Amino acid sequence: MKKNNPGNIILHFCLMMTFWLILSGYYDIFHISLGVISVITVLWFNAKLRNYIFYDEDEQHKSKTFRILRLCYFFPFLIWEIISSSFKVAYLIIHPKLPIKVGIIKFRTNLPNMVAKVLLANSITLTPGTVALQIEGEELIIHSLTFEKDEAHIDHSLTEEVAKLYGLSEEIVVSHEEIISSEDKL
Amino acid sequence: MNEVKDILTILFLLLGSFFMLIGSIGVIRLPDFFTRSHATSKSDTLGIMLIVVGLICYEGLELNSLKLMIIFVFIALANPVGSHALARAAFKFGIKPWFKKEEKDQD
Amino acid sequence: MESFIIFISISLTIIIIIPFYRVLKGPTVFDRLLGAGAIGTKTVVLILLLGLLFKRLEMFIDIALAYAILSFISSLIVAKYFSTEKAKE
Repeated sequence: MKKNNPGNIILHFCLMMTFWLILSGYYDIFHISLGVISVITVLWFNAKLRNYIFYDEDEQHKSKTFRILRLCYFFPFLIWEIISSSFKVAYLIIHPKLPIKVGIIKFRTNLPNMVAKVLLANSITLTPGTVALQIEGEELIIHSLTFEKDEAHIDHSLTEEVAKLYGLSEEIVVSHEEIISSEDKL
Repeated sequence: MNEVKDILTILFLLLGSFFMLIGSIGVIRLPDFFTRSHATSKSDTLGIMLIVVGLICYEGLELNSLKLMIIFVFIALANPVGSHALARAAFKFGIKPWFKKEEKDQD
Repeated sequence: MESFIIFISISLTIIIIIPFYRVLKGPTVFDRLLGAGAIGTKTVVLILLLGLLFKRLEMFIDIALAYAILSFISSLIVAKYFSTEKAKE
């Protein structure tokens, strides 16, 4: 995969230039030319880093397109989840008896690529009572704070939302669920 | 108009510092490392977001609010990543999670 | 308005002191790191509020951004260090 094509470089240049313009606050020729020089220097420093492959990606999943319009639904959903989860955690912390039930959940997903998995793990950390512990290949390990003992299935609405970002709504995303709720099963 | 702005700012700042207080108490009260990381990753993130939104209300539409938006986005991205990295390191290091004792007796 | 911001800053300072207990008494290294991270994220907000008090918010925002980036990177690096430490044994 070639990352050094001109379109990519121009996109990076524009992104860093807007960042410079926002942070500097001066809009005369001198300061803007200073910004252009530093952005080009940074691009030159990072030329080798762009060809470095940080992770392996399956060939079959590369063609999956990212649906940008769906983000307009995803971000308000995520912000609502953050607010509700903070209220839940606040309730658990203030409650004098600390009514927490710890459980560790393992499951597999077939999300298309690494970016989707990172997005999922990052949003899991921000949503009700769960922190992502580990991602290895297709397997995710999650630490849960409020876990009901009789609950056979965990709420996977977040995983489905991330899958919908890639247009995967019909396929099965979650499989091989496993719940550890005591020390000796670990 | 100015009063509405002030009231919104006061509301957001009070809510934000409340959530930060909750996060701090959680760091003290909860029993083990993994449960404590819940407190910092959720309550603290919402607290900072609310305070930054309050400051944006106070500033109005200016260049400063754009910069504050950058801080908002950066914290929303960086705080969960940082706490996930710490939790992952602890999990790999071999720290055993805490479980409730009653449940163990029932099993 | 100004006195209210001073009030919020003082209460934030008190809130920042609380995780110090965890930094001093944490049973594992990770508890201490967690406490230090919690202090770092709260300090960002304290710097912003000080900027409002000194009426030089545009300067203090840059300082707060640099501080946030530094604390984020340091926590990442320390986490990376401790996860490789175990693998060596």
